[in-house]
Amino acid sequence: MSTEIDPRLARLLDKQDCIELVHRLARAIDRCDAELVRAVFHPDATDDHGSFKGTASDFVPWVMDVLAGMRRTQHVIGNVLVEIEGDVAHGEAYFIAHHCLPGSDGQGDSFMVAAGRYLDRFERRGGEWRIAHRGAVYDWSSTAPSTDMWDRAAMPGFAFGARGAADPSYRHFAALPERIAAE
Amino acid sequence: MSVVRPDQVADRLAIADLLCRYARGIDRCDEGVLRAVWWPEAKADYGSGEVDALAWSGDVVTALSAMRRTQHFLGNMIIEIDGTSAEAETYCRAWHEVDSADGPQEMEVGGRYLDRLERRGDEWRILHRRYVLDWSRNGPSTARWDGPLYDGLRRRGARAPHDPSMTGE
Repeated sequence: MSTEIDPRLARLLDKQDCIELVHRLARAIDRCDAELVRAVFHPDATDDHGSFKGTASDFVPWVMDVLAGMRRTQHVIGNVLVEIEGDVAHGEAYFIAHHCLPGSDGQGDSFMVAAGRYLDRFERRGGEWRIAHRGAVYDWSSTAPSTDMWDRAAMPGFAFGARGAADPSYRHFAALPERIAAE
Repeated sequence: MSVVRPDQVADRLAIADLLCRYARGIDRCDEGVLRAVWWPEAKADYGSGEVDALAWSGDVVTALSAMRRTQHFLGNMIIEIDGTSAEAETYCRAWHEVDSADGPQEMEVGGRYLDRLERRGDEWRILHRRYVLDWSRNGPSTARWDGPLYDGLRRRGARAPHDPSMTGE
């Protein structure tokens, strides 16, 4: 950056980059897009989801496998607190994660909500913020039989969330091609 | 990976604010607030086809007024800005309480707003919106307003012009 910017503005930009990483990771997970998941982590990043502890590169196939057993998910992010210390930042992002799970042995689907916080360490390397470590903390959950009433196949006019490039958001963001191509 | 640029800070804040004003317009049934988020020729498609967004705003306030209450909880926002246009994806968890023959029902809908926005002069507004449905949860309302905890919490959300944010109550 050639011109000097107000340090408060610089801090805001750093925080915004970190918040956006949290939002992009939620999108990547909900769309089951392994490439987008990898893109938010540094190559040597680590992850601790409780049921998974290891490198981010091992986390990707693990989480894709977990997601494959679910019909759909939505990870809603709420409050995000980010503390910047130079090229390192720590974040606490509240989440409410919604999961539709297929029932076993002819049982109907169930709807599982898990809420907690992502404790992230962000690092800026070569001018770019990415996640160096993610830890998930679980606060509460609720599970009940699914009460989703949409007969998706019979509602052709509606846009429904999907995994992968079939989701309407890919076409939506492609309207600004030079930006998305950079990812 | 796009990086947030210093010259776009004001644009991003204005867009985030605009998206929040949409939720406020809806939840407070405030047609004036709701209409002000759209450019005059804006189109919206909530699943039953593309319609004129300003005309829709009037209709939706009528429909919402028939419900007991709603809360549109906005979460994740991914905002891509290119000069005077922008694309945004905003997660929303929309809670509705509606009357039915079987008593009040709760409908909760998880979805996303896919918006195309434009800046004209200093002002950002929505030019096109598509709503995507992800999940829903439906059943008898579990809302409680009386009892040991709630008796002490009497200030409740309302529709315009009775909401505490407007009355100063």
